[in-house]
Formats: sequence, C-alpha cells, structure tokens
Amino acid sequence: MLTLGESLLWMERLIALALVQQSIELLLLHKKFGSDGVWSWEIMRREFPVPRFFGFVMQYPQFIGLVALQLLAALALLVFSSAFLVLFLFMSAVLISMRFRGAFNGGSDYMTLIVLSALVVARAEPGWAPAAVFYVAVQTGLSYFVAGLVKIKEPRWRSGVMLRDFILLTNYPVAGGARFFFESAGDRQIALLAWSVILWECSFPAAYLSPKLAVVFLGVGFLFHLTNVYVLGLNRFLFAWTAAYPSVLAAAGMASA
Amino acid sequence: MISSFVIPVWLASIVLLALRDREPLKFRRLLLIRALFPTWRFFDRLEQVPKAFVRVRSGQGEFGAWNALRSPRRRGWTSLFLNPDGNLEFAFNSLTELLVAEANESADPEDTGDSVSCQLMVRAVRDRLACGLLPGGDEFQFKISILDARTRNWIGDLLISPVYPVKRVA
Repeated sequence: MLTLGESLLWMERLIALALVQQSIELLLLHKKFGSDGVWSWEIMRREFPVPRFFGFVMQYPQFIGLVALQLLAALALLVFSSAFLVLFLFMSAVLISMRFRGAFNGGSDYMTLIVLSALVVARAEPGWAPAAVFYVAVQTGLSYFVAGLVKIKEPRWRSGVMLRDFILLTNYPVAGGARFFFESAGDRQIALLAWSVILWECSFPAAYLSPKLAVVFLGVGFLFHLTNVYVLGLNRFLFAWTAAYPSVLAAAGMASA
Repeated sequence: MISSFVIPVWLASIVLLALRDREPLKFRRLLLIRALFPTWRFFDRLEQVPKAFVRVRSGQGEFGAWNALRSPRRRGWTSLFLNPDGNLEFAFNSLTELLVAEANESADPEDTGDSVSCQLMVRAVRDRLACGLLPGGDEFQFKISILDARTRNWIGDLLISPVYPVKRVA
C-alpha cells in the first residue's frame, strides 16, 4: 500500500520519465516542425485564436526550444520535487498538444495532462492532495472502464470481429508478428482475446476494493500496455499510464482503510 | 476560498466529460485544447476506414498507379523507449481522420483543398516522397478512399486532391 505522499512522489517521478521520453521523441522529429516540415507553423497558425501570441513559442525554432526546456524540466523533476517544475511541465505539455491540433498521440497526451494537472493542484494546495490523487485514480479507472463499456455494447467486439478488423484493416502500424497472428488465428481464439480485454477493462473498478486487488489489476494493465507497445507501437501509453498507477494503489489503500 | 470551489468543479466536470460521446468538430477552437477534456472511447467505432493514396508523374506525362500512403518502417525493440516515427504515424492517422471529418461536413469535399488539414496532408505526402518511400516524380495527387469495414468493399473516393508539385514552391 502506498501512502498519499509516496503516491505523489511516484507519480511525479514516473510522469517525469514519460515526459523525458516524449521530449526526446519530439526532438528527434525536429525537422518536421520547420517551415518546410509537415507540421509547419505557417499552416497551423490559421487555427489559433491569437496567432502572433502563440507564434512566439509555436514557430520554429522556438518550439524546439520549448521541447528542450520541457526535457530539462522533466530531468530535474526526476531528482527534485518542485511546484514550479510541475506547473511549467503542465503548461509546456498543453502548448505542445495544441501544436498538434489538440493531441500528438491522443490518449497518452490526455493521461499525461491528467497526472500533471493533479500534481499542480497537489503541490499548489497541499490540502487538496488527497482529492488530486483520487481524481487521477478515478480517471485511470474510467480510462479502462469506459473503453470496456463501449466495447461490450458493440456486437462485433463481442464476437471478436472488430478486434481483428482494427488490427488488419486500419492504418495503425501493426508489428509483423501480430499481423500474422491475427490473420491466421481462428475466430474462437480472437473472440477469447477480445473478451479477455473487455472483461478486464469492465471489471477494473474492483481494483479499488483492496491494495492486493489493485496490484493484480495494475500488473495485468502493465502487461496490456506492454503488449500494445509490441502490437501497435503505443509506447507513450505505457509510460503515461504507469505514471497514473500509484494513484490507484493509494486510492485502494484509502478505500480499504 | 476560490480554489475550494473551482478545483472540485473542474475535476468533476472533467470526469463527466470523459463519459461523453465523441464529437470532435463542433467547436473548432476547442479542438486545440481537447487533451484537457479526455474521452476514453478507444477503438469503439469501425464502420468506414479512410485510406490515403498517392500517385506521381514526371513532367506532363501520365500519372502512375495509386500507392497506399503508409510507412513501411519496421520497429525494433528500442521502440519500447523511443518510437518517434511510429508516433508520427499516429499523428498522421489523426490528420487523415480530421480531413475526412471536414470533407464529410463540407457540401463539396473537394472544397477542403485550402483547409489546414488538407495543407498538412500535402506536406505529409511530400515528406513521404522525400523519404523515398514512394516512386519519385515532379507532381503528385493524393486521394482519400473509404473502405467499408463490415463488407470489406471499397465504397469510393471521398476526395481527390488537385495536382501539387513534389518540391515545394517558396
């Protein structure tokens, strides 16, 4: 069981690690943000309410400077706890997601901001720390439970057809081995896999009943995200969700105390 | 004092918003801050699958065949930690989905040519051509075709772009 303070500290360190990883990836893609790049500010500025204001940090090379500062702040947060660092990282993560029209990598950006916003609240108003941790725990639970709920309502998910179709028909960069598995596996095998995901996602709220159950659910969750890294390349999800996991352990501890 | 009201309202509203259905294009400006209002409906819909294709020509000759606009890059074990190209591919998929949503909203899908999504798509195609992932040429066209996920038949082309030079004219 994690105490509230331990949970916050682990969330801080793990989200810092996630941001180090995200920042390095963006720095490796720096050419894509130049005036000749895919994500050129010259084009994107049209969607911003006050382009001159945002242009100050969004255009090249300032945007790369923002990402580099985010990397430095995240590295610092790995070593020091600081309300200022957390606030800066929250603001930089918002600006970077805006640069990609709201999100560079969908769900992982959402979870990164949820953890950071809770840390901002917890560090700025220590009295609100339990609510902030509980908020991350609720969002983590919702992220699985809502995803499971929409799947169980869909007959094609229940039969396994939709899982196979997502892998084989969509544009996601699927690993060769995974593609082979989904092409050659029988309908029953795929349906079993789909139901395993659905049942685990839908039953996730049970994780809050006790710290031991939380460890089991989070262990399965970690393996689930690790599988998604292999199958789809969703590495950012693994880091972002892992950063939220201490909140579930703390919430389970609070609930069972 | 203010925080004791604002913080719980903010946290509760985000939890409620997480339960909403997806409506990404209603308020264009809100799209920019959608990461602050997460929805957790992953892989919930698969009716029509948009696929981007590109074809090129040299000089004023005939265009070649349409090629799927996909990155064939392979992932290694290091992608567990760093996967910039793979994540760029996800951003590209989101871009394609936004372009499709805009085209579906427009009375004439070809009118989306001046939209931010379309201009970004032109850049994305140029990027792929520059990487040598597709046959070279002087000019290109891209199109978005729609695959019916249920029947696995092509429904048709949602939009076919104007002809663009492969090298950007400053």
